Amino acid sequence: MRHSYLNALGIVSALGQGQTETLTSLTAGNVDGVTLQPNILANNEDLEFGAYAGSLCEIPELLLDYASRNSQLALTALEQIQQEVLAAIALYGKDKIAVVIGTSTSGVEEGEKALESQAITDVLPADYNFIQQEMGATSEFLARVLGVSGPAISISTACTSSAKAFGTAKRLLDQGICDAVVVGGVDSFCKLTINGFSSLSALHSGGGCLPFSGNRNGTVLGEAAALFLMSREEKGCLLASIGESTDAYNMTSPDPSGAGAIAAMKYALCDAGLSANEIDYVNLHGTGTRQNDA
Amino acid sequence: MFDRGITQNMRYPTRLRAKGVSLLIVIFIFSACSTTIDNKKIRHITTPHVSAPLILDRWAVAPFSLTQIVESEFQGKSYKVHFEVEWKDQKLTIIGLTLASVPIFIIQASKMGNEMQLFIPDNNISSMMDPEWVLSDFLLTVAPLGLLNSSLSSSTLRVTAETPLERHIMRQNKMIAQILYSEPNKFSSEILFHNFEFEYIFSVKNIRFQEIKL
Repeated sequence: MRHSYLNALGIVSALGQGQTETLTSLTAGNVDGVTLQPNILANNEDLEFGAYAGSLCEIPELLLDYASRNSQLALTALEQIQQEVLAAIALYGKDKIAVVIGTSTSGVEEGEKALESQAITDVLPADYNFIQQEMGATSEFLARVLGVSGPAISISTACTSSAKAFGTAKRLLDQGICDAVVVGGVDSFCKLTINGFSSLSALHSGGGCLPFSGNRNGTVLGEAAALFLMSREEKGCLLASIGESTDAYNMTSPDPSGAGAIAAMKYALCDAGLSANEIDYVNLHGTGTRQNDA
Repeated sequence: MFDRGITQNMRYPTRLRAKGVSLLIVIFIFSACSTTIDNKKIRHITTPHVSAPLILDRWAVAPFSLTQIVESEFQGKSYKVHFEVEWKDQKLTIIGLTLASVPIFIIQASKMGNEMQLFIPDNNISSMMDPEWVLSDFLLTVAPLGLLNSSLSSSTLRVTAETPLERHIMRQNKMIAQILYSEPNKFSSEILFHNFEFEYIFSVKNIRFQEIKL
C-alpha cells in the first residue's frame, strides 16, 4: 500500500492566521474572535459567532465572479502554502493536481445579501453572480487561481464535508488520477446554516461551547479555512488511512449506539494495518451538543 | 492560584522539599532587607490552606458535575479558563481547560491523596497555575465550614463566616483572604475570591450544576 502525506498546511479562523498563531491562540484560550453578532437568528436574537478579525486576501480581478467571504478565506489559507503547491505543479504538471474542498456554506452569505438588497430595490446587485453561492464554487475558484486542470471537487455533507474531502483526495492519489491534491475545508458566515443549527436546538444557550462536558448544551459556530497539500512525497504528516460510514439513522442525529462511528474507525484501523491499542491520540468532533458528544 | 514558581515546583517536588528550609531563610533575609515582599517567592514554599484528602474523606455531598468559568488577575495579567468538576465515589476531579477547550491540567483527589497531570506546560496559563492551589481554593469556596476548619494546613489558620454570603480566611487575627458569594447556594452562586497575602483575585461563574444519578 502506498501512503499519502500531508505536506503543508494553511489555516485561518477565529483563532488567527497560520499554524503558529492558531496553536498559540488555541492553547492560550484566546477566543477574542468569538463575538456577539446582532439580530442573526430568525427571531432577531443575537448570536455568538467566531470570525477572523484580520484582513483576508483580495479576490483577483479576473475571478470576481467567485467573490465571496468563503473564497477569500480559501485564498488566505492557500497563500500560506503557495510555495509548496507551486513546487508540486512544477513537478507533476498542472493536469495532475486536484482540488478537493469540503464546504457547507460556499458563498450563500453573498446570495442572502443579494436577496435582501433585491427585496428593497427590486433588482439584484450588479456584483452578484449565482456562481458565488454554488457549492462547487470554492474548489473551482482555487483551481482557477492555481491554473490547474485536474479534478476540482466540492463535497457538501454538513459536518463531515472536510473529513470526507480527505477520503476523496486520498482515493484520487491511490487511483493515480493525480499526484498531488489541494485538500481541506472552508466555511463562512451564513444565516441559512446558523438558523438551521438554531432550529435543531444545537446552539449553546450560555456558557460557551463545552465539548464532552456533562453540562454541555450546544455549539458555537464560526468561519474558517484549512487547506493541505496532499501527495505521495514522504514529508509532513502521514495519512495512513481513512474510514467512512453512513448509518442512515436519522437526518441530523447520529446513531446513539455509535455504530456508524465504530464502523468508520474499524475500517480505518484495518486499512492502515493498525490495532486500536496502537493509537495514542483520538481527535473527536466535539461540538458540545447533547447528541454529538455522546 | 496562579504562580509560575509553584507550578515549576510541582514538577520537582522532592528537590523542592529539600530546598524548602534554605529558601525560607533566603526569603526571610530578603524580606528583612527590602520593603517589597516578593509574594511569588513566599508562595513558592507555602502549602495550600486546606488538606484536600482530609476534606474529601468526610465530604457528605451528593455526586455532582459542575462547569465553571474562572477569571483571575495576577501580577497585572488576567486569565480566563474553564473548569469541569466532578464529584463521584468520594473522588473529586477537576479538569482545567482553556476557553478553546484545550486541557491544561487534571486533578484527581480523594482521601488517598492528590494526583495531578499537567498538559501544555509551556503555555502561559498553565505555567501560571498551580493545581494544588486550585484544589485548595476550590474547596475553600464550596466545602462546609466545619469540614474546612478541621482540615486546615496550619494551626494559625481559621475560616469564618458571619453571613452565608461571605467567608474570611484568617491567619491568627488577620484576614488573609475573602470570599464573596452572590447567593447562599455555593454551586449556583457567582464567587469572588481575593487572596490578600499573595495578591491574587479570581471570580467564578458557575455555569451549570447537576447531581449525578448513580
